[in-house]
Amino acid sequence: MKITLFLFILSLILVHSSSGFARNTPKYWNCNNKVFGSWSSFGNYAEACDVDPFADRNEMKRIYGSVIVPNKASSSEVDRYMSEMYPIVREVSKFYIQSRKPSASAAEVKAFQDAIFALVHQESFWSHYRNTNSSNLKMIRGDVGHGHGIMQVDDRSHYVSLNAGAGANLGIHFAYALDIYYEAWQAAPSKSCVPSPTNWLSRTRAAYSAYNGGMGSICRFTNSSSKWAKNDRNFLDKFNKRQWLNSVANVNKPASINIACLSQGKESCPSSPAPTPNPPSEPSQPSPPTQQPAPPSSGEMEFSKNVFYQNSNGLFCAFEDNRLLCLPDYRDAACLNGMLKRNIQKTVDFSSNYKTVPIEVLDRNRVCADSISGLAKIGDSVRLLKSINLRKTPAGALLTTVPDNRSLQVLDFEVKNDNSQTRYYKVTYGSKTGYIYAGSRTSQSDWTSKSASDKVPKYIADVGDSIIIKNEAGINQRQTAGGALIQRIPKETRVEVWGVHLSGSSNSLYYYVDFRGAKGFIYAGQGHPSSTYASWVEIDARAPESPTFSLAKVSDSVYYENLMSCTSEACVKSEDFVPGPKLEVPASERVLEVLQITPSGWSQVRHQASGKTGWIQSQKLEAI
Amino acid sequence: MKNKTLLLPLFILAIGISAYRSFDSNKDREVQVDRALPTSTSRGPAQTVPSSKSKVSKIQSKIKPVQFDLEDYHARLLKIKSCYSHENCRYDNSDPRAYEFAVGKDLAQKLNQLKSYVSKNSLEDPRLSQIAREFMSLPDGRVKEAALDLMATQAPNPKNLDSVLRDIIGSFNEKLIPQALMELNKYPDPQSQKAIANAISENLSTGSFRVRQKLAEHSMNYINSSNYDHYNAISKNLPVNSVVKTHLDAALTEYRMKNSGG
Repeated sequence: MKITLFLFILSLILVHSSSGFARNTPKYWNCNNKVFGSWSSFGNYAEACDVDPFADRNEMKRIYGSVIVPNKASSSEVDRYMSEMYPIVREVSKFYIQSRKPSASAAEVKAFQDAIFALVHQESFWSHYRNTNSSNLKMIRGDVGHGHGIMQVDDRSHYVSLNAGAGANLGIHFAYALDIYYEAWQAAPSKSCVPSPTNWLSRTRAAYSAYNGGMGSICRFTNSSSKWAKNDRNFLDKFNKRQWLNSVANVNKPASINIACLSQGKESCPSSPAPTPNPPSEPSQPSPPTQQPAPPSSGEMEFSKNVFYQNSNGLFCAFEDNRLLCLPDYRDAACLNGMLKRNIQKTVDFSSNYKTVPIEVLDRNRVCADSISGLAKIGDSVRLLKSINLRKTPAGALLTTVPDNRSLQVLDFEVKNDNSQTRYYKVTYGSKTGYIYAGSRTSQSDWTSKSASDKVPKYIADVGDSIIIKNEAGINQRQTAGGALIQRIPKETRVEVWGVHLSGSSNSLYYYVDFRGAKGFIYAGQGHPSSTYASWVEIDARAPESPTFSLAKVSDSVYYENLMSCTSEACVKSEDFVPGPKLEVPASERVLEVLQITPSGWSQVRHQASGKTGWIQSQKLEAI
Repeated sequence: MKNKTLLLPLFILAIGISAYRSFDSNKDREVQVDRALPTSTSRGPAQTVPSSKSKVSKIQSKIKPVQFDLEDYHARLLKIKSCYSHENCRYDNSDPRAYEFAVGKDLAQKLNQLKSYVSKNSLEDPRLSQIAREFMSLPDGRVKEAALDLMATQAPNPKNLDSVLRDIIGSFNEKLIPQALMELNKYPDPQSQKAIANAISENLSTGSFRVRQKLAEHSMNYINSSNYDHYNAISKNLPVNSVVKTHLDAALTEYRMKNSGG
């Protein structure tokens, strides 16, 4: 406990592990090719900067094309834009509050929607995307560049999230900003400035004051001497006048994009379900898709070949030869279109009034491989023919740029349902995993080519590789993938891979291996939505006689430690933690493999139980 | 090396001056907040925080002694916290959001300093948990993060559990979810597990979109034999094709496969 000022100074230096939230961003941070629109026009208010690098502009244009407006747009262009944007705001605000608060009354839902209409007017004049020519895409930046998007999320307080696309991707942006407003909306009734929960006007105003100035300012609208009282007055004025309605042709028009799906962070969303003659069946007790799901009840309606049918189990189906061909995930819609040589873009709910036909559930890996020309398979190695951006998601934030001529293993693929078969590969480059663009049906050969597998870091083994069983309970060897049991192969056993098989929408991985004279399949994890491959087996790149990794555990007197993403306490924390001595867990969950040790005092470790890797200060480890 | 050592006190002076300018109510005390935390590199068994009046000091040449007084430090934190609700503190108020940002930054920084000291000295004290809970309830994500880091150094107690479930799991700060789930591992007893399962279930269904997705993404971290059926039932009531259901179903499958050997 004896201390010196010098040591305290040292502590100040050491405690600067980065917050996952905020940063002192400068004005117009990452604001490239800034343009000015107007101070008074809906849709192109104030300034805007390139959407890149916060999101991929081509994907944003594909997804949100209907709500892009020219900078300095004509009044007719503004009217068209507002007629498209209005139903999006109406639907997303309704979807949001009903998702968060299923018990919300109709009056509360309407009040919340009205509040959001006024909020997007006050914050941005309903502006989000705009362009100056067909090749670029910009997004509004207000408050000297700090405010991002239609709801003006501030990059000083939300730096990391905005960097990850919470400003640029309109759907994610709504979900992010509505969280902030909703928290204030929920807190408002407990404040003295809101007489009752159903006093919608005061609740709306209180939530706006908090949205604009923080929760400490929630009653600011009642204080006319506040430095920012004019913001509250302006908001009220907009709320009362509802001027946006002057530009909306039809307030009941359905949204042209599926904003409910997009607001959950998905990028491949079916079109908003068109009205069906009968309401869709209730989604009761959905079960995983099987090869022979129960057929729908009998009816008389004929199927069309021009739409996808979505049933209550989430299957997407196309009608062909008097049967429904289905895939479990809409992200593979392009493969179904490719197989049938169609360009279906509309989706309708699959009610019980259709004729009874057989349903066949297909496997994405087979359908996509057969119908998408030039598509690499999962596990293939590809060489980049040019430098390509690596993004967190196909449309998402830029992680880094992979130089040309690098070879990488394909961990997953996505083909966009855009009639061009635009494709993306999920890859790991260095410590970053994300998606690279890999061209379209006509340009794919310009972007990547097949590469020899022995030149890439592997996460999925190839035929001929050795793997080591890592699952604590061992892994069952079966006659077929998921079939009859042969035997269990114990943990730490080394076996050779004779075959690799991927199946289902989760990219379940099976290896065909030989153990004690018997050949059969072992399960090795799933690749989607998150990869668990590393927790099942480890690809053994070492010669058989090589020593094993040294093993360690956390020795520091803590409950848990973060697996840092880089070798500095200033790194942003990763999402992975490992137990320390003070946390009660089985001994097997403490085991870390030390992969390397740096001279600067950091160890790269692999947590055996989860397969996660990261960095820990070497002094916090002890050998076991 | 000597020159560098001499430069460091200048660095702290600069920080002190900066803090002095950012917070004018009780200027002298503000500087003292920064200087009130001692630091030790010693590692050892858990120690107890000195009582409010017990003080330790060491004088090195040309360096003034500093003192650690937890209650005093807590009072300083509360003073900064009070700046949220009025605009009288001398933080940047050039736009409505700048002010709140500056207050939160200051609070988070001071909580981080406290956590660093506590961590280095392996201190455990109920008052530290109380501070963590108090600041975890604030809406600023940075402050919540700093409070969670402080709580991470402390022994489990039911109030801390309630605080994590309400103020992190129930908030919209999805970046804190992975660490919050790790923190919840301190509570393996059945009663706590029931409270945890209830809170997670509620937020998987009606939480912030980002939080429910992150909870589902990390569900392999909390699904176990005693709650498998519970989460299986939750999944059946989630919207088909939702990101949450996709992640939760994948985790349930993975749990089943892991335990059966695939």
